[in-house]
This record gives sequence, structure tokens and C-alpha cells, in this order.
Amino acid sequence: MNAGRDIAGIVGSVFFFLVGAAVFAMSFEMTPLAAMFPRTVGAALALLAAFYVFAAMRGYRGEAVENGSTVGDQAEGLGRRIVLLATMIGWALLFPVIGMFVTSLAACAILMFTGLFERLSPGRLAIQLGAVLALVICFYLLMNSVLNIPMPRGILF
Amino acid sequence: MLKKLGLKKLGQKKLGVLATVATVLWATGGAFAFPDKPVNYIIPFNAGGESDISARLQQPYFKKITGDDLIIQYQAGAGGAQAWSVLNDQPGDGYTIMGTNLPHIILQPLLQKPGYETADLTNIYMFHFTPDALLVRADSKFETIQQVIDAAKETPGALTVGGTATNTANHIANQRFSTLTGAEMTYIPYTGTGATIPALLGGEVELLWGYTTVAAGQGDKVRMLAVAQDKRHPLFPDVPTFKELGIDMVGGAYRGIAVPKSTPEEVRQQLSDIIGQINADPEFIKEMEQAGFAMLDVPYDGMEAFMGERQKIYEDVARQLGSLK
Amino acid sequence: MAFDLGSVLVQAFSPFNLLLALLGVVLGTIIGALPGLSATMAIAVLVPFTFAMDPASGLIMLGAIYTGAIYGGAYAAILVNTPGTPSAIATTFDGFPMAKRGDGDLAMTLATLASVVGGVIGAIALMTLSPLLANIALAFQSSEYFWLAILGLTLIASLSTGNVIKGLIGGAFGLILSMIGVAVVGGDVRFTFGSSALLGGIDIVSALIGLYCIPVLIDLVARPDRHLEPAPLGRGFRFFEALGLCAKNTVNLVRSSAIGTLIGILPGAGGSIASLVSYSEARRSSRHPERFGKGEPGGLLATESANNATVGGGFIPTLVLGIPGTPPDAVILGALLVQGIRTGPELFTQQSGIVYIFMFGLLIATLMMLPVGLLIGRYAYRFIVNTPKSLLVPLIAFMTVVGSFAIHSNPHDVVVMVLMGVLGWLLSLGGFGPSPIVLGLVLGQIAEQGFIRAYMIGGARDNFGGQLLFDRPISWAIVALIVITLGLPLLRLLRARSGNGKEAQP
Repeated sequence: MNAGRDIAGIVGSVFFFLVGAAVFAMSFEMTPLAAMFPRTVGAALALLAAFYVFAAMRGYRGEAVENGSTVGDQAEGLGRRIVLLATMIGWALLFPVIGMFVTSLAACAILMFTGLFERLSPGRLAIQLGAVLALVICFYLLMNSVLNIPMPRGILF
Repeated sequence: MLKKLGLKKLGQKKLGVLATVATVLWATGGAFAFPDKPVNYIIPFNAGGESDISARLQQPYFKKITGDDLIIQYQAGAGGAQAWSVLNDQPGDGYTIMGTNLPHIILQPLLQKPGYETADLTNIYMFHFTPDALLVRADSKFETIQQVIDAAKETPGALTVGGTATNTANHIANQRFSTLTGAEMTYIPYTGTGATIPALLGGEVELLWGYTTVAAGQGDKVRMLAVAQDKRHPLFPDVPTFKELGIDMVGGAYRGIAVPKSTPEEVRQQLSDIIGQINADPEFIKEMEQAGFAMLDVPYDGMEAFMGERQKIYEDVARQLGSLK
Repeated sequence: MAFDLGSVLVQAFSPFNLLLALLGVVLGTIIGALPGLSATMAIAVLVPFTFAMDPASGLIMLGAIYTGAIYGGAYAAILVNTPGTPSAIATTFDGFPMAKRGDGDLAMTLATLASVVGGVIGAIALMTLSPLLANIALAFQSSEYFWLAILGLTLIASLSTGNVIKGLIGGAFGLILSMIGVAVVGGDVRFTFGSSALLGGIDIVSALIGLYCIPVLIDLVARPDRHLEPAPLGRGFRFFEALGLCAKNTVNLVRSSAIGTLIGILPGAGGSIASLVSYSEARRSSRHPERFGKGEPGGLLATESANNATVGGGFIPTLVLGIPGTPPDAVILGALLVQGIRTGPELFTQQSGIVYIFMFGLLIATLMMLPVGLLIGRYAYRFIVNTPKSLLVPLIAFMTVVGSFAIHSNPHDVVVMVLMGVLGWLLSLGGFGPSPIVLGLVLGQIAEQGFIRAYMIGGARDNFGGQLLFDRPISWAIVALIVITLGLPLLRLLRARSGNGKEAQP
């Protein structure tokens, strides 16, 4: 992992270069006062990213800017990661349509299995599923009835 | 049945009569009346703002009149647009109502694509407004509007006047003032009414487009030069109206209540009557005026005419602002 | 001043008010611990109940909830690396690494102690210096806000030692994210790509939850090992160890609390800037700046004392000037107005009884945070450590979804949260951490609006330079701090290079 060029950093920087350039270009359609910051920051972002691509091509690699969560070996548990992301995206898109309660219950059940690493006896599995159900009900009631946040009910509930 | 018919007819009459008669009706027919469970009142702004405060003031009177709670919820975002764009998705049973604000609900669809049209919102009552007011610090050299106009004409753009954001009630007031008097000032937008007050008191801007509520909250630290009302505000009997000074400005931020489109006609009327009753309560009027609000009574059947009139005014101003760009 | 200290104390310490303060602190801590649920929300929900009480009791309860909620933000920050409120952003920097390596119990105790110290210093400032300090709210103008935001942004440079370019790129990207939506100045609709959902911009809290929490979730499901290293049984609160660390950091605590109080006074700055600036200052003046971000107790103490000091600080302009210092203050101010209490100078002369009862109540509530926080913190820590992963994942995931929805009851915020999470995860693969992006996002609007307003006012007065910097002594001071913050590490680096190179990092 320590050898070679910072390929991921270069890919990221190309993305940022494109974002910066696009922001810079779009600023010309704005009124002068609203354009001031996008133009400056867009240009700065594009230049910094271009500089990084240049430096990384020549072999520079610094440390990752990271604190807290560590990004380890990404190949490990790739399937689980994808299930998690797909569940989160599906959850976020579907809950206004289908309803907070039902989608949350389904998503939490999927995530429970995603986070399960050992084999469980049917009894323990039932307890865990019960805990997930209780969790969803508790939070739902807390939000809906105690904090007066209108939860989307959608088609189902 | 009788009650519904009675109310429908009453809706055409004057409000004072309505209030007393309706009270009797509610007292007798209370058991079958709408509402029979708590009503959710969505405020499309953050808690603590003028919309929230006026809703909080309405809350106890709603309970007193109907016997049911008015539950205030917040759905802030995009200057209110976020909540208004989903109002018609809410169940139209009368148990979900939403605060609406002018000029927001007219200007936003005119100038941006906020996800709703003005006509999508079914307003059932406009119950108060905060009149535009031009304020200065208590130690300012400006004592009258005329002095401001003279100073602004002498060096156009050198005077700075604060206000809330762009294309808002304050911004419009500044534009209209400038059109009517020829006084040109530099309008400095801030994120909210709260942020404008330190700007005025701290001397960052010389003047401030605010509301009577600002003057009510700040007491003798600020001086109001004029208010954009038909008559002087009861809390500020010494402050002239723009009209008295020959400047045809009446306006501000209007606040009302809307329901989802699917709400049946009779429920709209009933809600309108309830809000009207609250608005007629002398205690409520006193509390509102103490806080600096100005009362307004536009019931459901007067809404079309009122909205049409405001729409025309704001369209004119929006055109001027557009040409400025 | 016409008030009787004895009767004030008797009322502030009445059993009913003590009970309310206790209840408020407990409720506030729990609500603050859940990401997305804010002090503002908790207060708004409880305001109607306070109308039934007498004003002083109601105020005590609201103040207790507020201070509890700010403190509770540390829980999610330390235990799941998710700042539930912007004021807890910097808490994650050192809190989560501590928890990760098994010092979660110590981190929770430290956060509690720091919050109490910060809260007490803020409350004492509120009680003794209010009228004087309120003027600071007026002395800070657009240009000062601009420089303050820049000072906050300099933290990017120190957070990303080892790869400053990547840090700066992240910061610039965050600034661009902050521009999405309707511009306050100019009224332009920027970078929404025609979507009405983006008119209001990217909500900071939902972005925070996504950027910090989704990568944690991804890590959680990827490997079977534990989320946090468990503490050995029977270690208790590690209270005296924490107390010892506090004693070592006395200067740090006092400085951070003072920064928190002062920045709390500024309407429109708030807990996020206060904790970022005090973190940056603590790091700068530390003898071991390289330990920051890797689980240094000093960093945790700095942010947690600063953000709780903003509570007392924020009440100063609220009560003295009638200008809310923070969003929760705005709700409390509204509640006061509905109860017919006028804030402003008259509040201190005519209704001083209520004000002082409230201030003592706030102080008591802050002190109650110590036992309450130690207890709740211990259970929260054990709960997170001992809950099996298969339950922890749905729990945290559900909190992120429900929490980001709860901010504005807006489904789009949830989509934004997830997308930011995916983006943050992808970028972290390329070595771009979330914190610079978050700093840009949080500080972008303050910087942009401050600068543009100074530009407009300077333009009207034909004196842009003076308006921005030259005529403004407070700006000088902030700019000096910026120069020191950026210059000192550079100087150290140069000295290390010219010397024997012992301290130079490879």
C-alpha cells in the first residue's frame, strides 16, 4: 500500500479539479456579488487539485488526511459494505413514499443481518429481531408523539 | 347540519358579529364540532421567529375556543419553500394547517423555482402583519424621514440600510421607498431579523428596514422614523405612517394560515372562522399589539381579492428588482 | 440593583426548581446525545409546558435542557464519531480515537468535567459581567465574522499535517458545498441544478451525520472485530485520573471556557466556531501538538469546555439586548415574549428577581450535569461497547436516518445525509478526510457573507480596506491570531530543519 503513486489521490484530485473548474465557469452567470466567492474558491480548488495531480505524478505522496474512522484494507467485507450502502440509499429514497415505520423496520432487519458475524441459535435470533422491532417502535414513538415531528406515513405506514 | 349551514352563511358577514354568534354556536354544538382532536400547525420557519411567536400566542385561544390542542411543528428550510412545496401532500382533513407568509409565497415562485406555485397554497386566513418600518439608532442624527431622503439624495448610495436577505419584504420596502422618494441607499442583506439588530445597534449600518416588532423588542435603543401602516400602531402613537408623510407605502410581512388543497370547502370555512374568532379576542389583540404585531382580518372568502391585490404590487416590485440586476 | 439575594437563592433552590433542573439536564443530555435532535428542538417542544409554570421555573427548565443538550452532543461524538450538533465537531477529533483505543470511559468523564467547568465559567460570566460583555455582540461586525471564520479555517492546515494540499482541497470543496442554495446576498440561486430541494442549501447537521457516521457504519459491517475496545471491568469512572488531567490542563480549560463565553456572545457564530477555535488554540499552545487528533485529552477538554461555555455566553445578548445569541436562545426569547416578559436592560432592573433566579438555576443545572453526566455517560459507554454489532448497526443507522429527517422534517435531508456519507467514504479512500470539508461547509456562509457585507458597506463609504481591516482593532487581533496559527508551525518546521532535524517528520 505504501509503494507506487497515490493513484486514489490522483483520481480524487481530478474529480475536485472538475468541480472547481465547473464552479468557476458557472460563476459567470451570477450577479457580481454572488459570483465573488464561487469564482475565487472554484479557481483555488481547481489550481490546488491540478497541483496535487502534478505533484503526485512526480511521486509525491503525503499521509492521508484522516482522523477517527480508519480506512483499512478495502477488499475486506466488500459485500457487506455494498449491502449497507444500498440499504441506506434505498431507505433514504423510499421512506417518504412507503412510510417511515415499514421502511425502517425492513432496513433495520437487513442491517441486523449485515452486522451479524457469528451463527445464532433461533432463540437468540428471535430475541435480536425483537430488539430491532422494539428499537424501531421506541424511536418512532419518540419522534412522532413526544417531539411532534411529523413522520411520513406513505403508502403503508 | 344546522351548524354547518349557519356558519357558512355567517362567513359572509362582518367579523365582530361572527365572533359572538359563533361562540354561542360552538358552545351549543361543541360535541359534534370540527375539530375533535388536536390540530397540527406547521410553521415553515425556525422556532423563535415572528411566525412562531404569533402561533404560540394563538395556541391557548385555539384551545379555549375548540377545546382541542394546537400542536406547533417546525419544518424550516429554503425560506419556507421547503414546507410550502409539500403542503398539498398532507392529508386534507383540516387537522394539518400551515403558516404562510407574504411576500414569500408570491415572490419565491416569481423569482426562483421553489417547487410550488402561489396558486397551490389554499390560504384560509391572513391574521396579522408586521408593518415595515425604517429604524435608526436612538443616537442617530436622523430624526425624520425627510432628513434621510435629503441625505440619500445628496450622496446617492452612501447611506447603508440593513435588512433581511434579498428579494424579501425588507428588500422590497427599500426598493419601493427608493422608487417613491428617489432616495437611493445601499441595501445590505443579513441572514435574518436577529442578525440585523446588532448591525444597527453596533453601527455597521446607519438605517434598518425592520418591523414594528423590532422596535417593540428593542425599546428606547432604537427610533422608528415611520411605519408602513394605514393608521399609526397603537404601541407607537408618536411614530408617523409613511402615508401621512406622503409616501404611499403600506405593507410588510403578512402571515396567514393555509390548508392542503384536498381540504373540503366547509372545513376551510370552519377553520377560517376559528382563526377569526381568535383574532377578535380582545386579550389576543392586546398581546399581539404588545409584541409589535399589527392585526389583519382577511377571512377565507376575502382571500382571493387580497391575494390578487398583493400579487400585483409584488409583481411590479419584482420587475423593478429584476431590471436592477 | 433592587433584588434580595436571600429570596433569590431560596427560590432558585426550591425543591420544585431543583427537580426541574434535574429533569431538564437528563432530558437535554439524552436528546443531545441523539444526532440530529438539537437543543432547539427539545426546547421548542417543552416551551408550551413552561407556560403553565411561573416564568422563573420555566426558564430554569429550558436553560437546563439547553446546557444538557450541548453536553449530550459529546456522547455521539465520542462513542460513534458522529457530532450530533456542529458544536461537537471538534470533540470527534480526539474523543473517538480515545474511545477506539479503550479509553472511552475516561473520555466520557473528561467530557463531563470539561462541560461542567465550561458551563460554570459561562454562567458566572453571565451573572457578573453581562451588561459589559453584551457590548461585544455589537462590536463584532461583518468583517470580524469574516476573519473569525478564516481563523476557524486555519484549523484545516493543522488538521492535515502531512498532506496540507489534500486538506486545503477538502476545505475548498466544503466552501463550495456551503454555497449551494439561495444566496443571501444577491438572491442568486446557486448550484441547485434546478432542484427545489436544494434551494435551502445543504443542511450542516445532515452533512455532519453523513460524512462522519456513514464511514463508521461501513467500517462496522466490514470487519467482525469490536466497534470500541472495551474497558476492563471494575475500572469505574476513572474520575480521579480525569481530575488529574484537568488539573494539568487548567490553563487550557480556562482559556477554552473564556473563548467559548466570548464567541457565545456573538449572534451568528455559536458553538461550532467556539469549539473549533479553542481546539486550534489548545493545539497551538500545547507542547505536543502532534498528539492532537490521535486521542489527546487536552483537545477533548478544550472543545467540551468551550461549547458549554457558549450556553452562558449566548444568554448574555439574549437577556441584555434582546438579541438571541444562538438558535436555542431565540426560542427561549420567544417563550419569554409570549409570557409577557420584556428582555433588555429593563429585565435587569425591573424583573431582576426572575433573571437572577434563572441564572442561579442555570448554574445549579450545570453543576447537576456532573453526577447526571457521569452516570448516563457510563451507561451509554457500556451500552455501546456491549451491544452486539448486529444491533449496533441498525441502531446507529436508524439514528442517522431519523436524526437527519428530524432536523427539518425533510426527506431530502436524509438523501443528502446518505449521499454525503457515500461521497465522504469514497473521498477518504483517496486520502481526503471529512474534517476539512466539514470546516469549509460550516464556516463558508459566515466567511462569504461577512466579506461581501464588508465589501458592500466599504463600497458605500468609499473605504473598503478600512471597513475590512484597517479601521477595526478587533479584526487586527483576529488577523494576528491567524498569522500566529499559520506561522508558528512553519517557524518550528524551519528551526527543526536548520537544526539537527530530530523533530522533523519524515
